[in-house]
Amino acid sequence: MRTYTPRTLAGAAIAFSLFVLTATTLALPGHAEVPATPAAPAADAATPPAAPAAAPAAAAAAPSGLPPLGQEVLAAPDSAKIAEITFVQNCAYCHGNQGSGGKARSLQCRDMKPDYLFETISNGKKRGSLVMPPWKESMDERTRWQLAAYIMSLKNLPSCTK
Amino acid sequence: MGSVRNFATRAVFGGVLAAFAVSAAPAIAEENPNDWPKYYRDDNAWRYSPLEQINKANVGKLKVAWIHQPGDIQMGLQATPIVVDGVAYYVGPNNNVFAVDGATGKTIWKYKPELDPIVETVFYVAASRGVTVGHGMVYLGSLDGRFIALDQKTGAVKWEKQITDLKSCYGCLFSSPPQLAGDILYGGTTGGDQPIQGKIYAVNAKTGEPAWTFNTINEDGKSWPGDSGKVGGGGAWLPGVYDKKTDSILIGTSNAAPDFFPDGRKGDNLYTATILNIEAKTGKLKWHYQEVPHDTWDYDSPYEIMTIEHEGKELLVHLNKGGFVFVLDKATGKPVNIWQFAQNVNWTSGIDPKTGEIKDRNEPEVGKEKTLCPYLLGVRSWNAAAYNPKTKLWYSNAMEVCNTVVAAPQEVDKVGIAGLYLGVSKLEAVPPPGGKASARLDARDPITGKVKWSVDYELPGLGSVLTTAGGLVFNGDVRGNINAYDADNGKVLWSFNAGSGIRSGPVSYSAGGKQYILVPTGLGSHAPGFMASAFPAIKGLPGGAALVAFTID
Ligand code: HEC
Repeated sequence: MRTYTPRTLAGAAIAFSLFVLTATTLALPGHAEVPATPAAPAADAATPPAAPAAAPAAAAAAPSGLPPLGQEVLAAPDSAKIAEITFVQNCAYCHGNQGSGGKARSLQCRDMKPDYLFETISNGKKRGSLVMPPWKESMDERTRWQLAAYIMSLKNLPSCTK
Repeated sequence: MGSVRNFATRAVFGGVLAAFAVSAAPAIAEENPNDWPKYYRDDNAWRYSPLEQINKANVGKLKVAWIHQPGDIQMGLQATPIVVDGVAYYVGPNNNVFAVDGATGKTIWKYKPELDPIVETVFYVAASRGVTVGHGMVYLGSLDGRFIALDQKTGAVKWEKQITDLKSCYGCLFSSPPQLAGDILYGGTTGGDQPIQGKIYAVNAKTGEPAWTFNTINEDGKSWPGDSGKVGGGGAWLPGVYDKKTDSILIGTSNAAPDFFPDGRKGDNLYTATILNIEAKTGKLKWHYQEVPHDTWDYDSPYEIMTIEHEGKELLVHLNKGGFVFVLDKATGKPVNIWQFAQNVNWTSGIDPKTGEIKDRNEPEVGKEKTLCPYLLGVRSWNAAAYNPKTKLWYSNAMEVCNTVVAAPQEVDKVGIAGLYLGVSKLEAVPPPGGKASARLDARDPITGKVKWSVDYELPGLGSVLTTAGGLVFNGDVRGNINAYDADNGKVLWSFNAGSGIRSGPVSYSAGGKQYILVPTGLGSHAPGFMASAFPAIKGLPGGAALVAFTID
């Protein structure tokens, strides 16, 4: 079990899109199943994202406290899209379409940190009579980070700007 | 429970039971009217108590007698208590079993199994619908796949048997109490929405020795192409009933998987969405009736199978999730009538009432959004209906909700232990097109469906209905209101708010000369979460768990 240091990640989404612009496609030992296409830029486990150099303004917001896989997945532009169907198949039953509700709190328009999302998805959550099973037995780490990226994208739904 | 006592009882209850005895003598002869000895009370699955001390004239004076709390509210209280000789047996969240004095609410014993930690990792967590009492034992189907027999007097374990392995068979846990069929104890697992092969398991009730296993996935090669049957779902997640005369178990099965993407499983997908008649001694199939061949909507068939005598014939009355009530000849399993209970049905233009043919199937499609009615929770959830032989009416909750569905292939290898094998890229509960999501409690003729009365509900009733010889119908709602209705006309005669909703089976019994209405309260289960997009008011409703007994002083 890894431990993560919770960090404030204001403006994380902006930082991620900058990674997208700057990251290069690298070989990923241990993640060979992921096609290293130009559309899915990745950060090498041994090389923290090079974003700060190319984008000084975003440097402070870089999610460098996250494990490399988390950084990589959050930086990839299509992570949220990939996870959408995973969410429908595994999560929408309880969380509603696009995380709109269910008995749990809505996942939309909320500023939740990626490490919190990853931890919660991995370990599950109980509140009163409500319970979410842990997903770490059911999904690999990459999929769980992709789901975190998807839930972060729900912060920017058109309905959130009122 | 000897026959002497029964004769005395019959004298007391006069005409009702006499009439009763003629039509269903074998079932009644073993029963003490003071008890609620089985899940549906009797093998006719009526959820009818012959007690009439509490009746239309005095129900207004009904007051709380005692409250028992299991101390854990995860997934609420979903049990139907069993009451025998004044002792109530029930199960709270996470398989906590209690024996409670029916007159005082005092705990007589309690039992909590050491559960395998794997139970925390599955989709259908914590919830259990009850226990079964017989042979001096209290039987539990556990969340980690065991049948456990407890001493009825002390709660000590008499025997236990590991039946399923959750690691290799995701979701193969027991959410309902295994049932007795003479010396056979049998039960199916939950999990029709998972990539498994659901089975019904039978053991010797006295020893736990395996007797037989019935695979709800027919492996004759025709029902399931290729390997699709290996992950075809099925199972039987609610209690069946037993017909002693013919040594038959009648039990309904779950849906086929993946629920909404059927391309890989072309065929009838037997025995999913089917009523089975199984010989209890041998596990041999006597007849089957598949309500929804090649189900593509999650319209499974596990709900209560009622027996009602009609024009000299024993008929089965069975609600399928797809919104139709199937009336079958009990002897043959052939349809006698099929009537539409849901108002909003668009998955078919109708089912032939004589042949059962499903006309103009409207199936989910890949890449195309369809609104299909009823939704996957059905026109009603698993909370059972009741039948009152005095009014000859069938009382059932109903809801009118649809789901928008886009079918999609799903990689079966990626479905984890907590995952579902639904085969969708969109799934959401929505109101019927052009209308609004609604709910009601109906009183109907069980054979024809003719409505006698109907009461609107703001939110769907998720508890089973109880009816009594006192001319009453009891039904709880998700806000915790428990209502007593006049069984003849639906007039509200009494009402109480328990503070958290009803998602269980209220029962009635007599202890120390007094009749009680016993209501397990406390909202839980996954269903309210899924329906919240159609009924937003359900979102904020509190959970809970408390067994509340009512009586009249
Ligand atoms: C069985 C129902 C269920 C399923 C399935 C489920 N969840 Fe949950 N989830 C819950 C409940 C209940 C909570 C706690 C809600 C609360 O505290 O209001 C929760 C909480 C969360 C949270 C924390 C949100 C917050 O408000 O802090 C996240 C993130 C989350 N779930 C993501 C997921 C993802 C991703 C999936 C699919 C892989 C998923 N959930 C599947 C029931 C479920």
